[in-house]
Amino acid sequence: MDLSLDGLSGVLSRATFLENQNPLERTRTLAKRRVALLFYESSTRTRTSFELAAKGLGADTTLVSSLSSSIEKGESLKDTGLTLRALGAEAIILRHNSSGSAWLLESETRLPVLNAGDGMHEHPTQALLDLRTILAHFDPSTKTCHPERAQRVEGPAVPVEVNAETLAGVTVTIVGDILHSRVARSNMLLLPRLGARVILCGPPALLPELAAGAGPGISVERDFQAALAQSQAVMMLRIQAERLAGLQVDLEDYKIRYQLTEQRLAAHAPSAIVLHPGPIIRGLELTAGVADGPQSVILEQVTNGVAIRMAVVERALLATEQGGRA
Amino acid sequence: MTALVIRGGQLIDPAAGVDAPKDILLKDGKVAEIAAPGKLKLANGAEVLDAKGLVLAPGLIDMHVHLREPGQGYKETIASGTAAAAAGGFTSVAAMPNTVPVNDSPETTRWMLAPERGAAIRVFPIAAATRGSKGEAINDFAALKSAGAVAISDDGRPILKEGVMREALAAAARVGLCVIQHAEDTRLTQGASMNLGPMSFKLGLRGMPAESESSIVERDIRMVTELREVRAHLHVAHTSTAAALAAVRQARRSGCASPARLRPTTSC
Repeated sequence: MDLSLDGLSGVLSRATFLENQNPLERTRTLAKRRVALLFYESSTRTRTSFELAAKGLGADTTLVSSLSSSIEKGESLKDTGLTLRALGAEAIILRHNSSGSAWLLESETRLPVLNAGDGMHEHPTQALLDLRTILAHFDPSTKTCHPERAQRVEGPAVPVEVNAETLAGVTVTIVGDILHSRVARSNMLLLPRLGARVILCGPPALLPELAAGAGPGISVERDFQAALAQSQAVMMLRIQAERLAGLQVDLEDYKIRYQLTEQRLAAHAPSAIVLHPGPIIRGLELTAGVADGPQSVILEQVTNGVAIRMAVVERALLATEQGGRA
Repeated sequence: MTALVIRGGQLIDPAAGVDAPKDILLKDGKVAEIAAPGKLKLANGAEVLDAKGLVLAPGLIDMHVHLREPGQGYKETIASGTAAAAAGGFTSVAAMPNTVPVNDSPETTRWMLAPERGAAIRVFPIAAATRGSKGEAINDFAALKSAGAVAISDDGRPILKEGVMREALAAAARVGLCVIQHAEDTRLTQGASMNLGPMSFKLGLRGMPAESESSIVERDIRMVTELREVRAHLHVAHTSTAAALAAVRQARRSGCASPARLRPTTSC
């Protein structure tokens, strides 16, 4: 899904509209339409919020996960997708451990495929919900974020119109296992399009220098404190043990250098917001005190996931009606 | 006697240095005359084929194909692969040995060449360098050559052990065959699917570092240089990095290795 900035504003705007709509009225949006969730990797937040989003719009949903389905018997991604289409699915929400799988499934089924995370590649709806979370805490007059949600005199509680300057002057630092993170990739490609600067921070084993070449507005900073001092938003990532592929990471050393502690946060970024796509590992990438502390917006991210996913599911099914792609 | 005139085509014959509009006369399936358009002298009574807008070329040779037989006929057979090659203008193909079993014996080589395989064009088997392409024990290259093998290669399982590669180069040289080495240190490319760089990072794909290619190419070229006395012959397959290309270019200047086959790693 390559959204234009107008398309992005459209999604943010629909997210806010649908979130505030009467739930019973909302179920008429996609009443009895069929949406399939196809999950090859475990998931709590993404799967549940996609499912609640589709159901909230009135759609029928069905979940196929790699365990307890014919995937266990060796059925391919393509055949599973064609089967779901034959069962009447009008869109497929896919999470898969291979980069590029959403692209492949879409080209094989010709259905709108919503990428719920493909390997180490992208997790677009996570970046959208992260953006919505950042915008809710963003004060355009001072170009900063605040742990308290920004008070707005008029208009919706979260800005819905964005352009290439919206986040100009804002620095977002993404910390940790960048190499294996689809969340990092989606965010580092999205946020600079709105004018934000993205700093990537982590040890060389988890953050190759060439990551800065992924797109404009991205830089690499190895010193966590220096990165924190420049940041209005800090996004912590989990070390993805399942994707390390033999890479040896000294976790004790990692914690010394990159763990977000209350002391670090207070000393270097006392007014920044702290994000995390989850699942969090308390005591590894961040301390419990930070996760539960006043600067954490981690649970707001989860809540925003439902609104954003309602908007993209709606968009995908409207695109099918119009014969276009999501 | 049958005669056929192919008229109006653009003849491209790199070996003869020709790239020009030409008419061609074939007699009994062989080229009898080539002349400027309308200037054939011996064409009387021949059937005429209009090749206007088409390219005429000598039969193409693909010196790196995978025919998948024996063992993987569900992917491709010698008959289907050569039929496809013929449709594309190829008259000869050299078939790599990563079959099941690996083509590491004269029996397998002969089996591939047997008329029962139904090849549509000429097939030149390339035999494995080591038993089962496991990179350990060198095969009998003389026997493989007399069975019909035209070159030696362990294909996608490159010979990583220096001693084994040296022995393979020397043994192949003794019987006048070249060793084709897939330019990749597979110890550095586990799970990788493209060259390492900002693009592989962006796509979330594991990347192959340039050294995984150049280190093997440079090592092999050094060995060929050391084995100059026995006229060892190396062919580097799948070069895709500047460093490996530079090494090959340098070696060619010094006259010790054949032109590299230039083909991106991702193509097969």
